[in-house]
Amino acid sequence: MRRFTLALGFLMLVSSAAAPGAVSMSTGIRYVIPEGSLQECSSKAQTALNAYLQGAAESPAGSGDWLAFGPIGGHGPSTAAAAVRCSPVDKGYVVTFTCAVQIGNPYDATALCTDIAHNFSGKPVTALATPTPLPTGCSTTNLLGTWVSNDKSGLTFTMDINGDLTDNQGVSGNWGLVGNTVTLTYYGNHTLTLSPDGKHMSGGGYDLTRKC
Amino acid sequence: MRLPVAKPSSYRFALLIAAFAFAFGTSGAPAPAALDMYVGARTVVQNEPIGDCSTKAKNALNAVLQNAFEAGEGTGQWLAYGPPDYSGHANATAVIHCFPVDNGYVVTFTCAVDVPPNPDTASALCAKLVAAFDAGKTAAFLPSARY
Repeated sequence: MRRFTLALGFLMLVSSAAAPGAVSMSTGIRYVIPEGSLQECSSKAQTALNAYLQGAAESPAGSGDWLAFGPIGGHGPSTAAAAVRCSPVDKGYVVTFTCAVQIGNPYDATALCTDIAHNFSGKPVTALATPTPLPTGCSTTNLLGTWVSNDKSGLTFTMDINGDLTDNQGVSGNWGLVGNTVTLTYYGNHTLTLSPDGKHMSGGGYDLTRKC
Repeated sequence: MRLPVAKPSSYRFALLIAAFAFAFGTSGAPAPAALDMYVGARTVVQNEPIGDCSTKAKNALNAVLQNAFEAGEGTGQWLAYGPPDYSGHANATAVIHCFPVDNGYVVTFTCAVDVPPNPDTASALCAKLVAAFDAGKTAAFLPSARY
């Protein structure tokens, strides 16, 4: 039988979760270090996790099992997490990397795990993808931004990427855009026409100009 | 004899409708899902081949989740997802790592879930997997399990 302590170098196998999911998991990166202490592994694990996630903690203390959540700087629900588990084997240790991300993250679980593992081993890392910035300006493909009514004093709408709109008094509704035809659901449905420059829309009792 | 009946004013009626609308509207708003991950048990098993670990890992994952597969043939690293929801997405997943040491193996359990909607926490999922893994071990020693 193979003995891990005789292994030279490391075994690196990467497998990405093939199944689509609200949660995507990646596992398979496993380093076998013939000589090294559990403390060394733990120190590297903590550093690697905190490079991409936050609050890396050993659970329980002294176990060599490290867990962190992300994204960095996030205060809401976690959307990414990773576990680095160090297990002593003879004079060295085995360390495994397991990562999970929510679908919709700008990076996948494999990218996260690869970077954490490479940080651990000192290999070059690739910057993780960042969220795509919201489009700005008077685009004709969306209605994002703030719209001011030209004929109803004080009335403004804020329209977001999710198709939601909110007026200046906090009343919410929805927007849709097909071609240059706009549908606003706001005290009923209203059909408007978006101008070629994306800055104006009118019809259905509304005449609006976008701030851009 | 006719008793006096208090008729609700249109204002009260509107208020009631508004209250219902608010109640239904807020209760229907989905809570943001949070990713929950848990590093579960790590167990050293002596005098058992690594192949037994893989068999039990696969069986345990299939018992609790579904469609367990090995992340690279012969690696001893087993992964599975829970049943997909209406959109084809799974909200639970787990990994069981088996690796040989001396004349036995070490097995670890790592779980992740999206809560909500998954009813179990990652910790609870891992506990189920450990139980299923151990049940596989017990079954292997039952005379009736030998053919």
